[in-house]
Amino acid sequence: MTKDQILADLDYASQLAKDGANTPLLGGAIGLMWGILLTLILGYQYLILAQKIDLPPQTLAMAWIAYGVIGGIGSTILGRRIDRLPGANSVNNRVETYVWVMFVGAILTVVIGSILNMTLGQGDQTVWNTVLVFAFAGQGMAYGIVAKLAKEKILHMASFASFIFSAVIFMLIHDPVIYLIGSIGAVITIIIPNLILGAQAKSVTAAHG
Amino acid sequence: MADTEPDINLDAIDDVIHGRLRLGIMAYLSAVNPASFPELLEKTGTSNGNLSTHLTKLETAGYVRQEKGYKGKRPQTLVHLTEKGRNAWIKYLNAMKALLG
Repeated sequence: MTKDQILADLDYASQLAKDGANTPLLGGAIGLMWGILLTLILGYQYLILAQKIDLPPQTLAMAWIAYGVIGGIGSTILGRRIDRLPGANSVNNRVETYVWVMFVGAILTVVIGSILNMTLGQGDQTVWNTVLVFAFAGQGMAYGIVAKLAKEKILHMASFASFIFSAVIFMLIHDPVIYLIGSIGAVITIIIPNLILGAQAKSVTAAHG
Repeated sequence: MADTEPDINLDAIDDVIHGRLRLGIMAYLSAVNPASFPELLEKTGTSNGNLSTHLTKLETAGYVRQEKGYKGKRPQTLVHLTEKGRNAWIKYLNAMKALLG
């Protein structure tokens, strides 16, 4: 075997390794779905709390339960589809999946704590409002980790924007307007980045047939 | 061009890995682990039978593990790079580096 033959084989192997390492992030569709749901529910919560629409605040509990159920079912369905795509088990995609699973775990602990505080303790609406602060801060961290690993500039920007939204919401924690800000934040930090990532993943997948 | 170049002594090279297709499989699995059988077919551009043959060779050496199961109702084969396979891959790359200067 000659050096040229060996180098050609190594080139081929190197191309395959790069293909695997450069697999686009595939979770865009799931992120987009959660972004849309979050935009809607936070907007709805703002309209109720700011008394812009005449519906009882009790409907919020139902809306949040529906949000969780629809999001859970949607994630399961989309997750199964993503699992079948080439590169679903690349390091970037495995880390992305795990980071968001841990993010959900972190937010759930805050949600459960808030509910317990409001039902068993002396907590009021402000306690519940802090969930939004933690959600944006946690999201900023999750985006930051994935951005660093996948070298995605758009996620670095989404991470930075998430931290800003977290701080602004904390500043206005007693005001219902935080839900309007959160709704806008969901569009900027979730829907737009995931639309861009989704388009990238689609073009790469199409390019590879 | 190949005729005019001297042959290289490959005695120090792991010949289980050193075949174009097996090299490609190991390279891809080093980045995406596990990978499904159809994914490897698409990436390597080889035939079903050829891929099976080479995967069996790698599996016999303990470098990969094939896991047959179901994804929903569809049968699915996942190919995992084993710890032994990863070590062999690193050793192979180092040997190639030394060989080619």
